[in-house]
Amino acid sequence: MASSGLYSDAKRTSQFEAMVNAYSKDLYRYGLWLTKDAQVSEDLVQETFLRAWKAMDSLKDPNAVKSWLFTIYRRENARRFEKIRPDTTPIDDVNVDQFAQIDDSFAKAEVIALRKSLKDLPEEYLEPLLLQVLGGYSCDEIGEIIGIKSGAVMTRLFRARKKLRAILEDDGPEIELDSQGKVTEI
Amino acid sequence: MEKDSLTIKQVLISDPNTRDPDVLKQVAASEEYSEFSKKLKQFDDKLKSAINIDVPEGLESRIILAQRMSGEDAQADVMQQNDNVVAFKKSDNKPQLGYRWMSIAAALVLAVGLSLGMFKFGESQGLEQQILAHLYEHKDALIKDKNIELASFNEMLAPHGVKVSESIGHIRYASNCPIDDKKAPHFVLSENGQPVTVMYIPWKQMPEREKIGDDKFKGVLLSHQKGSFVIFSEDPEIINRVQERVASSIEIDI
Repeated sequence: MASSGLYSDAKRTSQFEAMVNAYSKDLYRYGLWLTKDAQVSEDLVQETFLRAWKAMDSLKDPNAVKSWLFTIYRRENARRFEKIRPDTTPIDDVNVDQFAQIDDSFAKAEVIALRKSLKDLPEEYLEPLLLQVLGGYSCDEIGEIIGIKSGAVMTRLFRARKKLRAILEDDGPEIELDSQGKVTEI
Repeated sequence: MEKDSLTIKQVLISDPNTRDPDVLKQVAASEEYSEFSKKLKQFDDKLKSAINIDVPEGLESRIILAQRMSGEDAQADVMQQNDNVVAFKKSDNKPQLGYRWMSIAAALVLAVGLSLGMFKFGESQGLEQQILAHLYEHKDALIKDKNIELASFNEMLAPHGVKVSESIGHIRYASNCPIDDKKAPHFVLSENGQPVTVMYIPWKQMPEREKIGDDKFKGVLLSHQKGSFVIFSEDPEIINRVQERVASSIEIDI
């Protein structure tokens, strides 16, 4: 395949493998929480990287690789809905109890509670939160990826995080958003 | 520009790791804001732990293997690019969620094949029919030689609880393919320079049979543990030798 972009033919394979090793896990997790289906999420990750492999020559900014992959993944996920309406069965694939890496039973209980709450979080709140936590994106960047204004992203993140913090009964100085998204003290 | 207290808190709650220089400056200068920020970051750590759910073992290897097998045949279907955002052809009818769409395609091929009398299944039923339909659908796999490495191949087999040794010989092609809405390892070996198709069905042990197939492809069905191997070739003379190779190369069950 002719090379005209950032990657020479000699480097394409190693760059691709580095890309897979760096970002496939976060893409899989992002997709698993959104699709609620482990198999669909892995299929989408596979498809995303195959797309990325074919289009690597068009990538000009190596710093944009991660957001580029998230964008491809979102498009591939959206395409699922163009032809079929996927089943929306509850997520059994997201096993909220899988937690071998945490020994502390209190921490374990907190994270399981958070996972249960994440499963029920509406997608409009969940997706910005996933992009923020897994992608490390700012509100401006999330707004560009999902096509809404930065202020709307901040409102969604505020509400998502507040709901999740309430699960852990995390008290302390608090504020609230009114129905117009304006901030008030409580 | 200095922000009021409510705005500072709103930003910190929405984004505990904000990079806003004005907010960071005010947080650094205020004990109240610092404490507020610290508490939110502690929650953020718990949230990260919750979101970072386990990833299936071998995910990266499977992606890289899929890329190698798609390889240089791939034609970029990039339609346009704007900076780093790439748009793809929407009318593209190629399978995107390959495994699932391909299973539908295989079923269609089977239906068309039956209506045209293309296939003569005899006593073959169910899965055998699907496998044969899949073989017709992917006849291009018989002319490829991607020289799949044993380690990569075993990575592909690992989720199915099977591993093979070097005695499997030269592997020309390998892929996880959709059969009966599940994934089945589909690989092509070489015997006397001729391609021989092998499919492993991990989830169903079928009765062993020495003669399956149709006019074009002849085959055998072998049972193994909880699964079955189906071997097809256009040259029936070489099937027995491949059958022995497959049987002797299954090294361990994982």
